[in-house]
Amino acid sequence: MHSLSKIVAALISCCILSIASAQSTGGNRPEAPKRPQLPKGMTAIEPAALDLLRAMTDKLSAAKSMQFEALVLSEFPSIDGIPVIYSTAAKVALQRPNKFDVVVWGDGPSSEILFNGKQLFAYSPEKNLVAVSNAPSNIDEAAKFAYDKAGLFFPGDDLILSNPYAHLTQGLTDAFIVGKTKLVGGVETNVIVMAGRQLQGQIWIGAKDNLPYMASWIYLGDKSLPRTTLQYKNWKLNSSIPETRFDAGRFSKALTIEFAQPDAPLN
Amino acid sequence: MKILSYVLLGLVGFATLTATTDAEAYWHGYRGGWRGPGWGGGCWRCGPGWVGPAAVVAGAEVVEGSTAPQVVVEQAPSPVYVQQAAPAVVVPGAAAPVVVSPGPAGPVGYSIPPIGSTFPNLLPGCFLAPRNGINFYQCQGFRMRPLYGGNAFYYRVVPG
Repeated sequence: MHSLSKIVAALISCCILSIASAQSTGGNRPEAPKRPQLPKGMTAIEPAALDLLRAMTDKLSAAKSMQFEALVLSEFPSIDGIPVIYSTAAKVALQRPNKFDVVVWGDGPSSEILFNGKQLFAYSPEKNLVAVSNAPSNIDEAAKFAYDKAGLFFPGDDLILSNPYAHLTQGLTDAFIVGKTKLVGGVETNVIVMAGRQLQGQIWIGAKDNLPYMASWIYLGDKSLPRTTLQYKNWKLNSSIPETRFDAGRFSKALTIEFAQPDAPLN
Repeated sequence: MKILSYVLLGLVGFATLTATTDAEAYWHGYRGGWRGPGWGGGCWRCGPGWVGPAAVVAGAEVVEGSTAPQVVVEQAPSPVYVQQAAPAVVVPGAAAPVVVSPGPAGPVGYSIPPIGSTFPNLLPGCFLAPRNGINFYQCQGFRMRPLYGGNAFYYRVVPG
């Protein structure tokens, strides 16, 4: 009887552990392929790579204002399963602590995302629609609110946060320096590889100015492993941005609508 | 007592394994057009998830498969064929993409789409009809509500 209870207890424990294990590896989160054994003395995350990343993020987070342009090349599979590259461009302006504006155009409908410190707007010039919502009063929370409320994201949204280093290194499993190149962004850049459970890619950081000039990521969460490449240019830090850039008055003639994820219940 | 110990041990294992999962989440912001709806644009053979912005009179409809009745948007008279994406109809619960070939030319008309279906563009014949301070479009037998979500503007079929 005593041994029977032991067996039952062991079975229960095994069941619970199995369920836990299945949950931890299940869902749509594929694991990154296992890394080969590294030679002695080599670390998966090189401190020097993190130092370069830290120099970049410190510079960005210290900026009171920020303007840059981004060209985005994104893969999306055709019906045939063949990756097709689409391109969009964006002009980003940020004024700390509580304003940003992003104008996006390219292979698809244009849009503008504005956060004026109180409200979040998404404007479509073609449809003459503007989604409006009250929003948290700082950039970090507004960006999270936009993502949660409307799945809203934009080029550089990971760079404008108050602590982009924490964001970029969350879940990081690998980081190392590839070397330097003079062929990206018109300046000399350090090339750094970064990888985590859901992303693998590279970032090109200016050797002198510590600004990002390109980033390229493969999304491991999608079985087609799409790659998105972002090229950044025309950086302006701490320059004056006209207040009109953050004035929502230009949307006043658009039809007002709400933010809602496609599967969210409506009021 | 030993049973209790084993169960507790199992629970500790459960907590440990599940707690590390979300902590390792690595959301990295911008995904470009990876999920489609933020994009649209010209694409003859775009895959599932793609939502084109082109006019309703374009070539073929891409309808995401569903257990719900198939939605077919018939062609407008004298359709203007452009090398652009077709109107996409995304039906809730979509399982797999289904490509519907262009219908015959004829008068504008369509079956009533399922409640909750979403379109990247307003269907023809719909007109603005606000109600209780909310902007709707009244269509033939149903209403559409313009919204922003999933990084794109879209129109959702709503009751009424």
